[in-house]
Amino acid sequence: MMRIRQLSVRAVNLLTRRSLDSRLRSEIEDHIALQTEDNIRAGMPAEEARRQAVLKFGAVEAVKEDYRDQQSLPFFENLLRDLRYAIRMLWKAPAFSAVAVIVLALGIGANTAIFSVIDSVLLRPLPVRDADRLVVVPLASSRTGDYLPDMSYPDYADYKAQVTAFSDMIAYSLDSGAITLSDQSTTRVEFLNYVTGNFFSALGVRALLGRMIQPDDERNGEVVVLGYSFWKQHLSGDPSIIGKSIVLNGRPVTVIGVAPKQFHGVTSFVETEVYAPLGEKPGNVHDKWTARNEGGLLALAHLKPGVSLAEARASVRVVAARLAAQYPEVDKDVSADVLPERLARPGPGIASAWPLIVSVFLGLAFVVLGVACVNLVNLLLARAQVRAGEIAVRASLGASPGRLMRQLLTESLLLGCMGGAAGLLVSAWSTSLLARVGRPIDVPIRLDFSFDWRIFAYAFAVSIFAGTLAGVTPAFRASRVKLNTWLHESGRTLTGGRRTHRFRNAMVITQVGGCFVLLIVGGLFIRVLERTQDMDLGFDPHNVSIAQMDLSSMGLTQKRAIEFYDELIRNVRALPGVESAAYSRTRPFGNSNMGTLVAAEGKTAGKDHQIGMYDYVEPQYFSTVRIALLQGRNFAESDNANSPRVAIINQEMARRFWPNEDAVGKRFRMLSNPGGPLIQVIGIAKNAVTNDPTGRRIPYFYLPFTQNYSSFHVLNVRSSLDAKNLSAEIERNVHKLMPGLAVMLMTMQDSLQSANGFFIFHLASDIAGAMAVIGFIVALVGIYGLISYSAAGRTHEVGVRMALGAMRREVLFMFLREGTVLVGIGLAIGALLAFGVARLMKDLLIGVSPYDPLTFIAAAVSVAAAAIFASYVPARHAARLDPMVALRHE
Amino acid sequence: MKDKTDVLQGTLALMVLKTLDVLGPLHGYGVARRIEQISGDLLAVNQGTLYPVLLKLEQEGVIASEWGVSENNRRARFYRLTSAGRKRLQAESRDWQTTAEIIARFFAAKAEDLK
Repeated sequence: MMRIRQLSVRAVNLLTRRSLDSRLRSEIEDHIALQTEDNIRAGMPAEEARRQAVLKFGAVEAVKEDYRDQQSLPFFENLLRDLRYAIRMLWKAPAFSAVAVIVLALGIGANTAIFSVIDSVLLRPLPVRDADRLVVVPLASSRTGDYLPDMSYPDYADYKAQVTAFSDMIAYSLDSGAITLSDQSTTRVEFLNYVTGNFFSALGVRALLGRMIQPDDERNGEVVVLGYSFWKQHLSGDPSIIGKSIVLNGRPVTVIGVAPKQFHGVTSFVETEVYAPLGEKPGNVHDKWTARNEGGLLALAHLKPGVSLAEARASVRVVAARLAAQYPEVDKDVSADVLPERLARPGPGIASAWPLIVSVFLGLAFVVLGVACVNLVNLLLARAQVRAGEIAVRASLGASPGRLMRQLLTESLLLGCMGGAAGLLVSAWSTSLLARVGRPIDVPIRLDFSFDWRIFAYAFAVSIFAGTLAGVTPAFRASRVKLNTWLHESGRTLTGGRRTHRFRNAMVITQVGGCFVLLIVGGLFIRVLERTQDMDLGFDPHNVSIAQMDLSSMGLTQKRAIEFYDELIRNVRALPGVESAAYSRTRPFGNSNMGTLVAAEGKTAGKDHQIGMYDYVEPQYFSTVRIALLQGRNFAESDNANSPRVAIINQEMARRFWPNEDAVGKRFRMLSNPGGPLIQVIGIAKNAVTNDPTGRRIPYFYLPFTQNYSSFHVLNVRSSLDAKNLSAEIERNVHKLMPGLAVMLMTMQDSLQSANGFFIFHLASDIAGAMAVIGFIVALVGIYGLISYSAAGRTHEVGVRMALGAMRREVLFMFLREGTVLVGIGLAIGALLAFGVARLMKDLLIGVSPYDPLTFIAAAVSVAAAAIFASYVPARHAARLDPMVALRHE
Repeated sequence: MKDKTDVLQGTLALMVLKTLDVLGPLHGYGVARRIEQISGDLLAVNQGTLYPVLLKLEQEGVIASEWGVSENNRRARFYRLTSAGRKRLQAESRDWQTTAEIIARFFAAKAEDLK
């Protein structure tokens, strides 16, 4: 066992190697010189004297090695040496090294990027206390199981008090608020949460500056807490904002605190800008707290330690049943559920599809990495064969197989690390690209791709794994090369051994197959996205601009508000280029869509209650947005506050509530307004896709503005004008009549692509599409490299064939045929795999058949064409060889 | 269990120490010649194996080295015994003596003595 002194001396020697090396060299020289002199003195001729002296000394190299082993820590010595050698080897073959690194970089980069996305959106727990016990508590229809969008405050209070399985329960609403900072004249519409008093304390979020909202603030606190990003962006991180007053929805509030940097609210992938207590939420002051039929709140809770999800669910259902019995007009037929928070991003509806989504995308990433690794194995194998000679020589010079393998492994690990480093760059670039692509403009989407040490560790581990995996087989084979065999066969058997060929062919087939699967998955998602763009929406979103505004922040009377809206639309309609304009209360996939339980007249049994979403509109709405009225009549002037309440329902509502009957003339009641009037159906409109981006049909009805008031209006304007100009004009008109009113402007297309809408399909197809492209490139590069090396290794054979009379074309076809056969088999296997995978993904593919022929054919053709091209180029090169040169090639 | 190289190294080390003790500071070649003379064929070939041993002894601190000038005006590295080396030499000599005595007694013992 080495003593400490020895160890430290050796460690120091590691650094002073060069001087010790030269010392040994001179000592050896001196020794041999002295021995030579003695030999001369003994009578030998000079040359013989020297030769005998050298012989007597023994094997210099062995001595040097022993010396060095003594001198320093051999493990690190060898590692360093192997590393230097590996670097030199890679430097000498730039094409190979570059290709290998690129392939790995793409594979690892893609892998890491996907992992970042999935992690930040679906896997990473919220940065709050006990995030693993956090659950969402959505209400649902006990009849259909469909989730209700929100709950009322009294309901929340009851659940909070009565559910024993929760250690705490909080509620918040997703809203936009009009914020005016004290020193600025512009009012901004910001995404904010109105929260209960225990929101921050339950989540364990402590203030960065000032303090957070507390239970005392809930009802009457005229305060706000700013989100970190809002504070940094709009206030430049000025700490003196604490205690200052700003304006929220037209009312002054005091800024009491700033949230910490890592807290972005409880809505995954959205940045919550401002937090205000529930008391600040605009609305009827009394109803807000007591009306059980109001909604607007989302609830989260912590499970008590030791309580299981199932127990909590049962407990919640008991309370729901109790409430249904106590308040039948509103809560009859309403049940509740408990889901882990992580599975319910962005909402509870996704919980069942969550595992599938995560598996599909992580699976995609792994396939890409797999293809990249296979590629690398091939490249290394091919290269090992080219270097077989060199390795054989080294073996004969005394290098043990272990050493050889270690050196080759070092090379592939080095490649792996370089690939990993490059891959990290690729992933950083691609995630920032993803974060910028297609951002919906209504909510501040935050795809957090900030550098995470875990991701780096993961990438590093993956690259080491890839390097080792890729290096093991070739290194093992290469180190067993025997010099004798090599010299005599001049590498022919070794480069073209049948086992090697089969292995390589298998790799090519794997790559083609994997690439095909990637293309199919990517293609299918792209088709889904296409479908959503081509979907029959039931209305025409083209050439329509939207302006969303909320007068509740201006503190006007209802009369004055109506006057403003009337004047505004008159002015807008008069603008040149404007075809038509009309108000509605909601926009497609907007944030404040309205829904309620509906009961048809005469059918008051619980099981007949169904959810209906609704909107307030003007009569011109249908023609502006081009929703066809199929039956009955449109709203008219005669439908006013004094006439019977009327509604226009959609086909789905007619079908569900009055199947096999004419719905026109029938009446129904909105359960959110218990004791309210019966509403008569005067017309049936075509189904429109405004709430569910999957195109699922939902019962929907329209109520006239003349009978329903809201301070919140969406102005829909159809015009042939350029959208930007139109928006600017609309804004100008709004501010001419009501300066300081916050207006959110977008086109209807934008609204469709927003966070609640098709955005998710964009994201999915972007990711899957990128994966497919990367996998495609990687596979192609692999095939090209492989055929190249194979052809290069068979140069001699080609020479022989040509010398024996083969035409260039025949040689070309020989290689092409080989390549084509491999590609064909790969496609066949890939197709089988793809069918299987597509079938698994069926639930995610909205509106597209998993066996979509267009996708399959397009993918097959692309892979085949590209792969054949990739074989053609090196084949042509081989066929072009001068037979004389080829014959002489070893 | 020491293998052959270790035994050889061990005895070689001892021989180096004793040589330096007897002849005083000496360069590598001189040590090799002396050992060759005395031990006969042990170091007839592969004199180079001496140098790793010299390095090891130096690392252990029992010998020290420095550049000097040899008899024919060549630069050479000279090794000398340190005080620690002297102590080691004494200890090891004692050990060898003891070992040799025990072995001798065993070989001298007749069958009857071992009953």
